[in-house]
Amino acid sequence: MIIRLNPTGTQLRRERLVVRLDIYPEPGDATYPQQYVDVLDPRTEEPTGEKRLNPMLCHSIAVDPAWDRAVLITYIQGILDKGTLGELDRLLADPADRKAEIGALMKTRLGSNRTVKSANLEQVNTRLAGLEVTV
Amino acid sequence: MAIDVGPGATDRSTQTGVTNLTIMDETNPANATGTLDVVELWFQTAATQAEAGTFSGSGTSWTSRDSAVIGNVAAGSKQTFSGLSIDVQTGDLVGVYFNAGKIEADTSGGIAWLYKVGNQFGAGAQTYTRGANNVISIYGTGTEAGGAARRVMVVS
Repeated sequence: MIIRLNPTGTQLRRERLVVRLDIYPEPGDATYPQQYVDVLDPRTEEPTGEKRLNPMLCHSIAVDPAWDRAVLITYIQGILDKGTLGELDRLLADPADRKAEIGALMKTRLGSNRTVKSANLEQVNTRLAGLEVTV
Repeated sequence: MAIDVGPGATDRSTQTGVTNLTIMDETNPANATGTLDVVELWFQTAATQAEAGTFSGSGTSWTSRDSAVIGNVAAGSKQTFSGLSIDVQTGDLVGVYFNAGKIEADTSGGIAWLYKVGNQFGAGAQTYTRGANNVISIYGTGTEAGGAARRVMVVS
């Protein structure tokens, strides 16, 4: 699976610097058929014949502003390892309601406890632009 | 106890037509007080600058309680957002703001949606337009305050 930082989710919330990680499934993953979707023409709302891959999960974590790119990548690899992503894929693909289990699984992967009074979100996004981790 | 709020994020028969909109759903108010950590949304057209949160109130007067920026939301499938930690109390409704985009909706089968143009999170008490029977694709789940540590003590 591929994890990409999505800069539109970067925010300062409750004195934490929060970034959003989008987790994309790969062919063969259980959620892949759900997230490999038709692209619609915005005018006619009919399928254009093109397909697009959506994330199976968008997860927000708090980061320490002192973390550089390499530290953040190591942290992401630690909290979103193959086992965790496999479990997420299984839970998200299950037609039964498994959201409580998803919430519990991700609640232990919320990032840094470091409080932050202010942050330049544009600078954060510039520093982390294009961040991508393959697991 | 697990908390849930909202009608469910599914592929519905139509979609909202207005952008720059705050919209919430009366179907399935929060069943307990605690924190929402997962929110699901289904957009027909991709959303930008989305923010999800909870509202307290009644009738057409509602006040945002808490929210989290979620950013852009992809269209065409259920999108799940975790790690949010949004305060919720029993009876609250779940809602979303988005700048561009259209959220999946049905014009029957729900209790009502409530909407107002602009981002109303943090705007205090506001009067919303109520559309009976309409329903949008939104759902939140979480955990009851103190729920994880709850134990039963038997005294004889």
